Amino acid sequence: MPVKKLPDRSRAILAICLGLATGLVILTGCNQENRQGSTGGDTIGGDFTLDSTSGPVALQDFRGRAVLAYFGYTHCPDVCPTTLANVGAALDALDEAERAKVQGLFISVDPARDTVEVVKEYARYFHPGIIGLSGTKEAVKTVARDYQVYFNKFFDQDSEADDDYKMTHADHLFLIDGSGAVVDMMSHHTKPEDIVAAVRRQLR
Amino acid sequence: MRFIVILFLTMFVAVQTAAAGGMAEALMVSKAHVRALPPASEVTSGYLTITNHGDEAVEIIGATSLVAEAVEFHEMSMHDGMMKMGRMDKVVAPAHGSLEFAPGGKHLMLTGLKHPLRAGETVIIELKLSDQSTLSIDAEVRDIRHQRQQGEKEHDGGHKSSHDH
Repeated sequence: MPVKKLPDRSRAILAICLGLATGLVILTGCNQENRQGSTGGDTIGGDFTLDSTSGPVALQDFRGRAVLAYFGYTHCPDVCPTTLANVGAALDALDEAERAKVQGLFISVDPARDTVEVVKEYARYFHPGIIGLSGTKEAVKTVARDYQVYFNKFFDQDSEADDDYKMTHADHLFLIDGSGAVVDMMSHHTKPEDIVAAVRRQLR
Repeated sequence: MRFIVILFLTMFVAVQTAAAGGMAEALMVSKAHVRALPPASEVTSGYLTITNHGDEAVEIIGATSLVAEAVEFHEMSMHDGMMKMGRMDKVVAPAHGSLEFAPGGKHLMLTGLKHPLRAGETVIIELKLSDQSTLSIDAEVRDIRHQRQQGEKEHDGGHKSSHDH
């Protein structure tokens, strides 16, 4: 029954073509979204400017240095402090010359509650070499999207308070090289010594 | 006056300990600690291991502490690289088994802290069991910075119903 099979095959070919086209559109979309990225091939990362207590801080400010950037929020008592404590321990394990070439960043994905003052105090607690950053909801969303740190907040059903919500988010600690490109993605499982090793590879 | 207050407090503690009968008898708590977090943080987390030596599973249906407005049971799970914190209404210590609250897994979430917790302080957490008996836990407040030197996981800081720190 070749007559019956032909439409099936055509449909299959059409489906493949559609799939390829969709893939192409998505890829193109990703590239456009990451137009700020300093390296052409990377789909994750890119330059950004956010707020701190001492004014705007841009990723570009740290060219030539390795950056450890962690996205989190202060109402997260388990995973976020674990990661920041590990970053703090890693920074302590570096010698002075190495530490001068590394910058830690804590970027809040909960700007509604995490003001620049709050994130400053929070980040400093774990290590003075970590700067706390926040910003407008839009600014934070853009950076989170560029780094593919998806987050959303959900409200506690039992609670009527507006500010009583919890967040879900991707758990990524980014290592960014001196050119502004993401070179490594770690998590709260990454031990301080492994963070140190990853940083040292970049400093070589 | 002060003596009377202390006497009353002692009696209160004694009554509390006595109330920890029932299902609580079968439980032993170890590694109880709470994290000291930056003063900017209104929340913190607590960890402990509950070992159940009894023949029956024990349901823990709630927790309270004087230092926090609420104490909830939370569990972290990963879905497609997304972390999700879920609240659990109750947790179960299986018969002849243990229930572990450890970083990156289950934790007690203390919200609305009345004051920033300092390392070295002891926080009392009351666990409420399904038979309405309670279990009082002394949880040491620990600084998690430089945790490798302090050995956050190795320490055994909590003791069931003991007040002799």
